[in-house]
Amino acid sequence: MANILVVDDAAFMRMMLKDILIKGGYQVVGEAANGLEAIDQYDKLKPDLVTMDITMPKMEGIEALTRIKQNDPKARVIMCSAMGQQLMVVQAIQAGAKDFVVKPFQAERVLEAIKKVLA
Amino acid sequence: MVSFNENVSELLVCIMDSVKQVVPIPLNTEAPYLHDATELQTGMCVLVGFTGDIAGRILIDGHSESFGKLGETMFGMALEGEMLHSFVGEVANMVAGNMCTLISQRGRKVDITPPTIMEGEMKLYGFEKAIFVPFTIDHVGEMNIILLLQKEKAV
Repeated sequence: MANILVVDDAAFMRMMLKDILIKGGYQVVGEAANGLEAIDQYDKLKPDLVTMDITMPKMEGIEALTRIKQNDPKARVIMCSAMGQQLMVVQAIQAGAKDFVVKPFQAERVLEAIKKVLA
Repeated sequence: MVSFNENVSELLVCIMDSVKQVVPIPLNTEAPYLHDATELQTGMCVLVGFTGDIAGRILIDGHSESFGKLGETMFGMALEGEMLHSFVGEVANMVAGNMCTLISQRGRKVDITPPTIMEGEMKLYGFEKAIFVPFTIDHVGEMNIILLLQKEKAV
């Protein structure tokens, strides 16, 4: 059972994602509300995968992704964001994200992305 | 150079298309209108700023009961308190984010800020023009999209 860290500044979205992931058979080992917390939680928990929002206070998601990848090049991060423009997706993939899920998303899309990344 | 009015028209189209993408419930939109006063009164609203090729602020304004019903209709759970506020913020984030995606497909680059949720009777100042787009969501209620623009930044 893979361990997942959920990063989003909206408590509601963290709740929704956690529900999707648990029903999908995954374990949510931690949550973070901004990029700084995400880096800290990643270091502590060493999850198998991270779901990462982009627009967040204190530190946005692409910068957090970059820092996490600097510390652990094998880190697996899937971006989950409302900002789905091509430039943003390219930026995220170039920074090391494994996939990009645009909000609002269906549970199936999230689970499909995770399954593919963890395979 | 794109005129201020062309920017506004483009924004309004993108915003309403975005609302329809984010809210999977039938909704009816009324004609936009200009609000000339320099203050606004709202009940519960969420504000998202946007910058880049076009700059301004979007508010989604409505009653807390309407937002609660929207959450229940979209996700099947009653929302209140902090979770309702968070849901409202996330709806605004998705509307603004999808708006940015639609605008980028028209060759413009726009970025957004995290949302700010405001509750209770309040007045808003510090804008030159406010454009209201009233809409009604089936079985949920009435809301407004409010676009606040500073004329010199939108051109």
